[in-house]
Amino acid sequence: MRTLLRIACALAIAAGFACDASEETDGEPCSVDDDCSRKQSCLRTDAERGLGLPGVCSTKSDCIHGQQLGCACTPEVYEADCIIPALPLYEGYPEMECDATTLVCVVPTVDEEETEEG
Amino acid sequence: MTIAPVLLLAWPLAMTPPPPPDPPAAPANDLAGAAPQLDWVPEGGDDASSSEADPRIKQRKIRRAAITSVAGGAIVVVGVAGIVGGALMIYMPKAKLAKLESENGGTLPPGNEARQRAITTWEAAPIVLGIGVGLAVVGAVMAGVGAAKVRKLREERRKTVAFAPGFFPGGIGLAAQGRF
Repeated sequence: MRTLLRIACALAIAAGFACDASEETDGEPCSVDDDCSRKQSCLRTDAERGLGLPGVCSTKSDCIHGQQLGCACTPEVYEADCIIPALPLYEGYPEMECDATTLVCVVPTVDEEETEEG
Repeated sequence: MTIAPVLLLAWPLAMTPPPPPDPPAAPANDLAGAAPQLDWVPEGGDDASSSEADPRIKQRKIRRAAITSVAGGAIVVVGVAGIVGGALMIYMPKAKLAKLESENGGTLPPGNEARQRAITTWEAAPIVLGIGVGLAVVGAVMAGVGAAKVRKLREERRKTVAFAPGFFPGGIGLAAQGRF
Protein backbone atom coordinates (compact mmCIF):
# COMPACT_ATOMS: atom_id res chain seq x y z
CA MET A 1 0.00 0.00 0.00
CA ARG A 2 2.87 2.35 0.83
CA THR A 3 4.46 1.63 -2.54
CA LEU A 4 1.19 2.40 -4.26
CA LEU A 5 0.96 5.68 -2.38
CA ARG A 6 4.49 6.53 -3.47
CA ILE A 7 3.61 5.77 -7.08
CA ALA A 8 0.46 7.87 -6.73
CA CYS A 9 2.46 10.71 -5.19
CA ALA A 10 5.00 10.49 -8.00
CA LEU A 11 2.17 10.67 -10.52
CA ALA A 12 0.57 13.57 -8.68
CA ILE A 13 3.86 15.45 -8.56
CA ALA A 14 4.43 14.69 -12.23
CA ALA A 15 1.01 16.14 -12.93
CA GLY A 16 1.96 19.28 -11.05
CA PHE A 17 0.14 18.57 -7.81
CA ALA A 18 1.51 18.36 -4.30
CA CYS A 19 0.72 15.23 -2.34
CA ASP A 20 -0.42 17.08 0.73
CA ALA A 21 -1.54 20.54 1.68
CA SER A 22 1.48 21.36 3.85
CA GLU A 23 2.90 23.90 1.42
CA GLU A 24 -0.42 25.72 1.26
CA THR A 25 -0.93 25.85 5.01
CA ASP A 26 2.66 26.44 6.15
CA GLY A 27 2.86 29.70 8.11
CA GLU A 28 -0.90 30.24 7.91
CA PRO A 29 -2.94 31.28 10.94
CA CYS A 30 -4.78 28.52 12.74
CA SER A 31 -6.83 27.88 15.82
CA VAL A 32 -6.81 24.05 15.86
CA ASP A 33 -4.67 21.32 14.33
CA ASP A 34 -7.38 20.61 11.74
CA ASP A 35 -6.56 23.98 10.17
CA CYS A 36 -3.14 22.62 9.23
CA SER A 37 -1.88 19.77 7.13
CA ARG A 38 -1.39 16.31 8.64
CA LYS A 39 2.37 16.86 8.80
CA GLN A 40 1.96 20.11 10.73
CA SER A 41 0.49 21.22 14.00
CA CYS A 42 -1.09 24.46 15.08
CA LEU A 43 1.50 26.20 17.26
CA ARG A 44 -0.54 28.45 19.53
CA THR A 45 0.81 29.86 22.74
CA ASP A 46 -1.26 30.43 25.87
CA ALA A 47 -0.78 34.16 25.44
CA GLU A 48 -2.23 34.03 21.94
CA ARG A 49 -5.12 31.86 23.12
CA GLY A 50 -5.80 34.26 25.95
CA LEU A 51 -6.05 37.21 23.58
CA GLY A 52 -8.06 35.26 21.01
CA LEU A 53 -5.19 35.39 18.53
CA PRO A 54 -4.47 32.58 16.11
CA GLY A 55 -1.45 30.33 16.21
CA VAL A 56 0.58 29.34 13.19
CA CYS A 57 0.74 26.10 11.17
CA SER A 58 4.23 24.65 11.29
CA THR A 59 6.09 21.37 11.27
CA LYS A 60 7.96 22.50 14.38
CA SER A 61 6.95 21.11 17.72
CA ASP A 62 7.37 24.29 19.73
CA CYS A 63 6.34 27.90 19.13
CA ILE A 64 8.36 29.93 16.65
CA HIS A 65 11.24 31.44 18.57
CA GLY A 66 11.03 35.23 18.82
CA GLN A 67 8.08 35.52 16.45
CA GLN A 68 5.04 34.57 18.51
CA LEU A 69 3.43 36.21 21.46
CA GLY A 70 4.37 34.32 24.62
CA CYS A 71 7.25 32.56 22.95
CA ALA A 72 10.90 32.83 23.99
CA CYS A 73 13.00 35.45 22.24
CA THR A 74 16.58 36.62 21.83
CA PRO A 75 16.94 40.42 21.79
CA GLU A 76 20.32 40.34 20.08
CA VAL A 77 19.03 38.39 17.08
CA TYR A 78 16.96 40.43 14.65
CA GLU A 79 14.79 37.53 13.47
CA ALA A 80 14.11 36.48 17.06
CA ASP A 81 13.53 39.79 18.84
CA CYS A 82 9.71 39.76 18.34
CA ILE A 83 9.77 42.53 15.70
CA ILE A 84 8.83 40.18 12.88
CA PRO A 85 5.70 38.20 13.78
CA ALA A 86 5.12 34.71 12.47
CA LEU A 87 1.87 35.98 10.96
CA PRO A 88 2.86 39.22 9.22
CA LEU A 89 -0.27 39.35 7.08
CA TYR A 90 -2.78 38.60 9.81
CA GLU A 91 -4.68 41.72 10.67
CA GLY A 92 -5.06 42.28 14.37
CA TYR A 93 -1.86 40.58 15.47
CA PRO A 94 -0.35 43.04 17.94
CA GLU A 95 3.11 44.49 17.78
CA MET A 96 5.46 42.73 20.19
CA GLU A 97 8.70 43.29 21.94
CA CYS A 98 11.18 40.99 23.57
CA ASP A 99 10.92 41.42 27.32
CA ALA A 100 14.48 41.89 28.52
CA THR A 101 13.73 40.29 31.89
CA THR A 102 11.72 37.24 30.93
CA LEU A 103 13.06 36.91 27.34
CA VAL A 104 9.54 36.27 26.07
CA CYS A 105 7.66 38.12 23.33
CA VAL A 106 5.10 40.37 24.99
CA VAL A 107 2.73 43.14 24.00
CA PRO A 108 4.28 46.44 25.09
CA THR A 109 2.24 48.05 27.85
CA VAL A 110 0.84 51.53 27.33
CA ASP A 111 3.03 52.91 30.14
CA GLU A 112 6.15 51.60 28.50
CA GLU A 113 5.13 53.13 25.16
CA GLU A 114 4.38 56.48 26.79
CA THR A 115 7.67 56.37 28.70
CA GLU A 116 9.51 55.66 25.48
CA GLU A 117 7.71 58.55 23.74
CA GLY A 118 8.29 60.89 26.70
CA MET B 1 -16.60 -18.82 -36.32
CA THR B 2 -16.66 -22.51 -35.69
CA ILE B 3 -17.50 -24.94 -38.38
CA ALA B 4 -17.91 -28.46 -37.18
CA PRO B 5 -18.61 -30.77 -40.03
CA VAL B 6 -19.23 -34.27 -38.99
CA LEU B 7 -18.03 -36.87 -41.38
CA LEU B 8 -19.55 -40.22 -41.00
CA LEU B 9 -17.95 -43.13 -42.69
CA ALA B 10 -19.95 -46.25 -42.46
CA TRP B 11 -19.18 -49.60 -43.89
CA PRO B 12 -22.21 -51.39 -45.26
CA LEU B 13 -23.07 -54.67 -43.73
CA ALA B 14 -22.43 -56.44 -47.06
CA MET B 15 -18.72 -56.12 -46.41
CA THR B 16 -18.98 -57.77 -43.03
CA PRO B 17 -20.01 -61.31 -42.10
CA PRO B 18 -23.74 -62.09 -42.32
CA PRO B 19 -25.57 -60.22 -39.65
CA PRO B 20 -27.48 -61.91 -36.90
CA PRO B 21 -31.24 -61.77 -37.19
CA ASP B 22 -32.62 -58.33 -36.64
CA PRO B 23 -33.55 -57.68 -33.04
CA PRO B 24 -37.17 -56.91 -32.39
CA ALA B 25 -37.96 -53.33 -33.31
CA ALA B 26 -37.43 -51.06 -30.36
CA PRO B 27 -40.17 -48.67 -29.43
CA ALA B 28 -39.72 -45.20 -30.87
CA ASN B 29 -38.89 -43.68 -27.52
CA ASP B 30 -35.89 -46.01 -27.13
CA LEU B 31 -34.17 -44.73 -30.27
CA ALA B 32 -32.27 -42.13 -28.27
CA GLY B 33 -30.91 -44.82 -26.03
CA ALA B 34 -29.80 -46.86 -29.02
CA ALA B 35 -27.87 -43.93 -30.53
CA PRO B 36 -24.09 -44.40 -30.36
CA GLN B 37 -22.25 -42.64 -27.62
CA LEU B 38 -19.16 -41.18 -29.23
CA ASP B 39 -15.95 -41.19 -27.27
CA TRP B 40 -13.62 -38.42 -28.29
CA VAL B 41 -10.20 -39.65 -29.22
CA PRO B 42 -7.97 -36.63 -29.51
CA GLU B 43 -5.38 -36.42 -32.21
CA GLY B 44 -1.85 -36.09 -30.98
CA GLY B 45 -1.30 -39.39 -29.22
CA ASP B 46 -0.21 -39.48 -25.60
CA ASP B 47 0.65 -35.78 -25.53
CA ALA B 48 -2.93 -34.79 -26.00
CA SER B 49 -5.21 -35.24 -23.07
CA SER B 50 -8.81 -35.93 -23.71
CA SER B 51 -9.92 -33.01 -21.53
CA GLU B 52 -7.85 -30.53 -23.55
CA ALA B 53 -9.30 -31.71 -26.80
CA ASP B 54 -12.89 -31.66 -25.66
CA PRO B 55 -14.27 -28.65 -27.46
CA ARG B 56 -16.80 -27.99 -24.72
CA ILE B 57 -14.09 -27.69 -22.07
CA LYS B 58 -12.01 -25.56 -24.40
CA GLN B 59 -15.02 -23.36 -25.09
CA ARG B 60 -15.57 -23.00 -21.36
CA LYS B 61 -11.94 -22.00 -20.91
CA ILE B 62 -12.20 -19.45 -23.69
CA ARG B 63 -15.32 -18.02 -22.10
CA ARG B 64 -13.60 -17.84 -18.72
CA ALA B 65 -10.55 -16.12 -20.21
CA ALA B 66 -12.78 -13.69 -22.09
CA ILE B 67 -14.65 -12.89 -18.86
CA THR B 68 -11.29 -12.31 -17.13
CA SER B 69 -10.27 -10.00 -19.93
CA VAL B 70 -13.51 -8.03 -19.85
CA ALA B 71 -13.40 -7.84 -16.02
CA GLY B 72 -9.83 -6.57 -16.29
CA GLY B 73 -10.98 -3.88 -18.69
CA ALA B 74 -13.75 -2.87 -16.30
CA ILE B 75 -11.23 -2.69 -13.43
CA VAL B 76 -8.98 -0.51 -15.57
CA VAL B 77 -11.93 1.85 -16.14
CA VAL B 78 -12.59 2.00 -12.38
CA GLY B 79 -8.88 2.58 -11.74
CA VAL B 80 -8.71 5.40 -14.26
CA ALA B 81 -11.81 6.91 -12.65
CA GLY B 82 -9.99 6.70 -9.31
CA ILE B 83 -6.95 8.46 -10.76
CA VAL B 84 -9.11 11.22 -12.23
CA GLY B 85 -11.05 11.47 -8.96
CA GLY B 86 -7.82 11.64 -6.97
CA ALA B 87 -6.49 14.38 -9.21
CA LEU B 88 -9.73 16.32 -8.74
CA MET B 89 -9.46 15.79 -4.99
CA ILE B 90 -6.19 17.71 -5.13
CA TYR B 91 -7.13 20.33 -7.70
CA MET B 92 -10.45 21.40 -6.16
CA PRO B 93 -9.27 21.89 -2.54
CA LYS B 94 -6.24 23.76 -3.86
CA ALA B 95 -8.54 26.13 -5.73
CA LYS B 96 -10.78 26.43 -2.65
CA LEU B 97 -7.85 27.35 -0.39
CA ALA B 98 -6.62 29.92 -2.92
CA LYS B 99 -10.11 31.45 -3.00
CA LEU B 100 -10.37 31.55 0.81
CA GLU B 101 -6.94 33.16 0.98
CA SER B 102 -7.83 35.88 -1.50
CA GLU B 103 -11.12 36.55 0.28
CA ASN B 104 -9.37 36.86 3.63
CA GLY B 105 -6.68 39.39 2.83
CA GLY B 106 -3.97 36.93 1.84
CA THR B 107 -4.21 34.51 4.76
CA LEU B 108 -6.38 31.47 5.38
CA PRO B 109 -9.13 32.10 7.92
CA PRO B 110 -8.41 30.13 11.12
CA GLY B 111 -11.09 27.72 12.31
CA ASN B 112 -12.91 27.86 8.98
CA GLU B 113 -14.89 24.70 8.15
CA ALA B 114 -14.42 25.02 4.39
CA ARG B 115 -10.67 25.27 4.93
CA GLN B 116 -10.62 22.18 7.13
CA ARG B 117 -12.74 20.23 4.64
CA ALA B 118 -10.47 21.24 1.77
CA ILE B 119 -7.37 20.11 3.67
CA THR B 120 -8.98 16.78 4.64
CA THR B 121 -10.04 16.16 1.04
CA TRP B 122 -6.61 17.05 -0.30
CA GLU B 123 -4.94 14.70 2.14
CA ALA B 124 -7.23 11.82 1.21
CA ALA B 125 -6.41 12.27 -2.47
CA PRO B 126 -3.17 10.23 -2.48
CA ILE B 127 -5.09 7.25 -1.05
CA VAL B 128 -7.69 7.48 -3.83
CA LEU B 129 -4.92 8.00 -6.38
CA GLY B 130 -3.02 5.01 -5.01
CA ILE B 131 -6.07 2.76 -5.16
CA GLY B 132 -6.81 4.04 -8.68
CA VAL B 133 -3.28 3.31 -9.85
CA GLY B 134 -3.39 -0.12 -8.21
CA LEU B 135 -6.70 -1.03 -9.82
CA ALA B 136 -5.54 0.25 -13.21
CA VAL B 137 -2.38 -1.87 -13.03
CA VAL B 138 -4.21 -5.00 -11.82
CA GLY B 139 -6.96 -4.50 -14.41
CA ALA B 140 -4.47 -4.01 -17.22
CA VAL B 141 -2.63 -7.19 -16.24
CA MET B 142 -5.91 -9.13 -16.03
CA ALA B 143 -7.10 -7.79 -19.38
CA GLY B 144 -3.75 -8.52 -21.02
CA VAL B 145 -3.45 -12.04 -19.64
CA GLY B 146 -7.12 -12.81 -20.41
CA ALA B 147 -6.86 -11.55 -23.98
CA ALA B 148 -3.64 -13.48 -24.59
CA LYS B 149 -5.24 -16.63 -23.24
CA VAL B 150 -8.32 -16.19 -25.42
CA ARG B 151 -6.12 -15.73 -28.49
CA LYS B 152 -4.07 -18.81 -27.62
CA LEU B 153 -7.12 -21.00 -26.93
CA ARG B 154 -8.84 -19.86 -30.11
CA GLU B 155 -5.73 -20.67 -32.06
CA GLU B 156 -5.64 -24.14 -30.48
CA ARG B 157 -9.32 -24.67 -31.18
CA ARG B 158 -8.85 -23.92 -34.87
CA LYS B 159 -6.46 -26.81 -35.12
CA THR B 160 -8.67 -29.28 -33.32
CA VAL B 161 -9.61 -32.44 -35.19
CA ALA B 162 -11.31 -35.19 -33.25
CA PHE B 163 -12.15 -38.72 -34.32
CA ALA B 164 -14.67 -40.98 -32.73
CA PRO B 165 -15.46 -44.58 -33.57
CA GLY B 166 -19.12 -45.39 -33.67
CA PHE B 167 -21.02 -48.64 -33.46
CA PHE B 168 -24.37 -48.55 -35.15
CA PRO B 169 -27.10 -51.19 -35.35
CA GLY B 170 -26.31 -51.54 -39.03
CA GLY B 171 -22.50 -51.49 -38.87
CA ILE B 172 -19.55 -49.52 -37.55
CA GLY B 173 -18.52 -45.99 -38.37
CA LEU B 174 -15.97 -43.32 -37.79
CA ALA B 175 -17.01 -39.81 -36.91
CA ALA B 176 -14.50 -37.04 -37.58
CA GLN B 177 -15.00 -33.53 -36.32
CA GLY B 178 -12.77 -30.74 -37.46
CA ARG B 179 -12.75 -27.11 -36.43
CA PHE B 180 -11.29 -24.45 -38.65
